[in-house]
Amino acid sequence: MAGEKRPPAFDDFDARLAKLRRPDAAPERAEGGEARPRWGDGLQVGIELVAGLGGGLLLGWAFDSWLGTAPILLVVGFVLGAAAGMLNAWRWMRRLEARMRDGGSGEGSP
Amino acid sequence: MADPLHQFEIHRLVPIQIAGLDLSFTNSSLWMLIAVGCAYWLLIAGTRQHALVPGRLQSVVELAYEFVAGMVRDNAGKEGMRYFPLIFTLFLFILMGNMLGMLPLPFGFTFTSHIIVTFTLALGVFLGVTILGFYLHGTHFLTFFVPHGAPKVMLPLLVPIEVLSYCVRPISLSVRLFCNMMAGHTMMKVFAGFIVTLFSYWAVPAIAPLAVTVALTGFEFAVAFLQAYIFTVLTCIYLHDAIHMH
Repeated sequence: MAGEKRPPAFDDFDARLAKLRRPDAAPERAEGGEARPRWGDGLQVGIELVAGLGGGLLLGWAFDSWLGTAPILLVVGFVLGAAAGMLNAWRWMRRLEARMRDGGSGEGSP
Repeated sequence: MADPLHQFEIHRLVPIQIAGLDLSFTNSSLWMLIAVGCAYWLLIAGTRQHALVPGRLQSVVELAYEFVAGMVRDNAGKEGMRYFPLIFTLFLFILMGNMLGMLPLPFGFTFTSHIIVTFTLALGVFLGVTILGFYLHGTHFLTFFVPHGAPKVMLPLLVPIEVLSYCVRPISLSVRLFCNMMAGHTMMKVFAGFIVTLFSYWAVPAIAPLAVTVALTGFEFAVAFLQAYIFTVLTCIYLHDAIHMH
């Protein structure tokens, strides 16, 4: 009884496993989980730009009110913050590019 | 119509005043405790059996572990594995916060939808990584802010930009998590409010906002996971910067 109803699992187990492990047969990767830019990547670039600007303004304003150099550091912070935001956005896009080149294995180092 | 922003209100459950500071135990603190409790329970219950072929709970725990371990190894390198416990804790805490916020409870609350919570987490990561950088490399870590191969004349301009771009990291890290959670939850509540309003006039077209709410709920679960993932990945990348200074 037990011999007849044996599940057919183990005979072709290795073959099936190998088939599943073939890289091009992984459906979630192929269907663009990682390899394509997601809408979150666009959002991240926007946030980096705004955060750079906001952070620069905030720091400039804080140092201004601390040192009493009214508008100077605010302006400097604005310009440097904008540059820093662009730098961060550019870095994110480069990381995205590296990730797409890797074909979606991990996030890739900058 | 129901107020879609009502869900973000903070209530004092146990008022505590210490030296003029309002340190009350709020619904936000309660849900943080619940998140910690859930993560604790999940790991304890999932690892209790030590089965060779894992059951459901153990599979979940093993999957989470493998997932975060792979993430740390890929993004922070082998040396980053020393900080795996911190990263894993951070991931589980944020994931639990996001997911518990999806529970349809009358007193439900998503603490990750508050900028002060996410900013504190991001600031902790930022300070920890910076201290680690100085600890590992000493003052040599300051050369991280000097771009390679830049002409010396440009350095007075480039170094402040680099420093500033480093300092705004906690802002972009926290704003991203916070605005995703808040926008998603607000949108869900707005569309859910449409159902009630529309239904009171005419029942049939209320199907449309209901369908949108169903779709948004599924979408929001994906966002809840993805944002926890991305927060952790970025933490790993910052860790990588501090360790390797590439």
